Amino acid sequence: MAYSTMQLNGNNLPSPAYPDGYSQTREHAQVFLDMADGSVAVQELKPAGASSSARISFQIEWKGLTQSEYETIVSAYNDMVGATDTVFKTPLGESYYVVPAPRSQGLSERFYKLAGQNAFDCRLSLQSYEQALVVGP
Amino acid sequence: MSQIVARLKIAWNFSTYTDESAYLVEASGDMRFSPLEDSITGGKGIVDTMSITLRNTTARFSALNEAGPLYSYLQNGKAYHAPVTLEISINGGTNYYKVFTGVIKTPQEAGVTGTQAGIVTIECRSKDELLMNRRISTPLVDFRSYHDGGYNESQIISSWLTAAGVSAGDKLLDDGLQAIDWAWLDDESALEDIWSMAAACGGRFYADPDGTFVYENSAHWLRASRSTTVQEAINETVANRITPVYDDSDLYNIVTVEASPRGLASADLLWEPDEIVSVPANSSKTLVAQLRQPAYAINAVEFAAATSGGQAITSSVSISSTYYAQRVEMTITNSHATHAAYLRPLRITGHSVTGSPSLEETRNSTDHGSNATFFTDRGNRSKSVRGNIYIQSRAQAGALAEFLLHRYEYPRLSYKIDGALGDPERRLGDRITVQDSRSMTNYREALIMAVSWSYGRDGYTHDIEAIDAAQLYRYQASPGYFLIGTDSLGSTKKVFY
Repeated sequence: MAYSTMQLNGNNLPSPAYPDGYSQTREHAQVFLDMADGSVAVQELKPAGASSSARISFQIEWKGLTQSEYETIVSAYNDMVGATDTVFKTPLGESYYVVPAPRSQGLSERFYKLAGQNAFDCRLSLQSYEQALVVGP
Repeated sequence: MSQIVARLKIAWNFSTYTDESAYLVEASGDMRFSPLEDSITGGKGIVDTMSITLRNTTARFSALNEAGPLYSYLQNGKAYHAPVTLEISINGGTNYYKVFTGVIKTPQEAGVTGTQAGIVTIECRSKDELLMNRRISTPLVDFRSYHDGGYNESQIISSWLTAAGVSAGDKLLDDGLQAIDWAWLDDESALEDIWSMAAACGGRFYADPDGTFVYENSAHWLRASRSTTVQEAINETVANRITPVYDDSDLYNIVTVEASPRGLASADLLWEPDEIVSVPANSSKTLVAQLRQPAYAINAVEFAAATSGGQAITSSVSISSTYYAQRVEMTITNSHATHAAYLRPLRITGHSVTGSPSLEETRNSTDHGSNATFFTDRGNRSKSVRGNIYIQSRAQAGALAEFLLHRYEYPRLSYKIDGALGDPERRLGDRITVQDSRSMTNYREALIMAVSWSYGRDGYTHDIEAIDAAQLYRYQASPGYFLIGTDSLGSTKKVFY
């Protein structure tokens, strides 16, 4: 499958850092409940009408970004925060509605000088919500 | 593994339900009876609640988002009291059961932050909420027919619900057990008086999760199949904690219940105004006469009208009246072309219904109970129940006093069950078995009095409060209660209170 340019809310994003700058985790909304006898009961939760309870978490990391690339990412992130329906297009070309991942730092950034130029490392955490149960705080 | 599926529907336009399940993040709610004794002594019920959290990443539920699909229903607080239902399935959507039916309050938004999606929380109230603020006055003709027809509490509750706009299909009422001689509403909340009347008869009134208004008489738990047949076995394998609790508050061996019988008074003046009523020329005036006591019959609205100079113009004045039990709404029309009409006299005569707390019935453990020895070393403790106007006969007061005595004379055994696996079929009054084999030799049967439920990131669970069934009706296990049409005269069965 060909590599696609990542997009967030229509903004092209730089390629993630090689080799492990991009990861996505698919999980079901399973809950483990402790019973009084020490056993564990498992429940899977999903909204009515959803085909599955799967939700996908995305972690994207960049290293050594230029000032311009950095500003593109910040702009896309800010657009997402202010937007009502943000689409994230993955490197595999799949599209998901996303929000900043709950209990994450959203977009974290580090700044330094590299060969005399401004350089940035960034990490972005997103979560799909199309079929997700929990997207709240 | 059980697959929990939630289906949330809201009728934003008050008629057609919209499925909002895809936006549901979490929900929690509470359904409960008032503590059994408190509901009788206090005459109050409880409005059940639900709180839901919805994902609002698309600003769908934002009242100020003019482009939102629900904007026309949300703007200016229009969503207030929109109908809502929540159904839950624990088998992947094969069977759904309602866990809440009611109305919403105004949605409360939590704005978007850099790391948090927008959400909306909505507080909901069961359908009792609709009755709470609906004030009703009983027409005089109904008030009289309740009395003349020997209406019982169930018939009167049904009549009041109908007056409040509740359809027959939304009512599920046990037969009444007590004739209530005099019952009326005077610009009062139907719900609060129904609670009082149910309490006066040892019963309960509430709106259930299916949205039905339910009256259960004091014998309901002896007869209803859900209360006589075990619905679920709860033990340490399906709950996080099971705690037996002995309630040692409110221990009494003497219970007194006050009654307020009423009677018909002879014909007399029922009302006259504090000041002269005047009606300008060629106009009408509406006047409400608030009677001191309810009226069984109104003989006439008597009046004479004169000008300010004393010239009689009674023939120019007419009065049309609507009679309620404790008020008369009059429309006074003065058709005189030039003179204002001064009505003197203006009075209403008829037969009022009078009465006050004038008798009481007392029951004690020595003569009517079974735990007198418990109090031998602890001294007498007395409880009085007063102020419920729907306790109107000696027999009714005696029955209540004895029922309460049987509850109060023992420390009452109940169970707190935390973190039980949720079952949306559970209803208040369901009979369950309770056992934690590590601390209880045998299982006990109990009736559910309260369920606090939650659905969300911590799963679907119930916190249950249940009362021990063996303590509830003294003669249920042996020898049993006499059933008309089943048991014969001379049987050892006991008459129910």
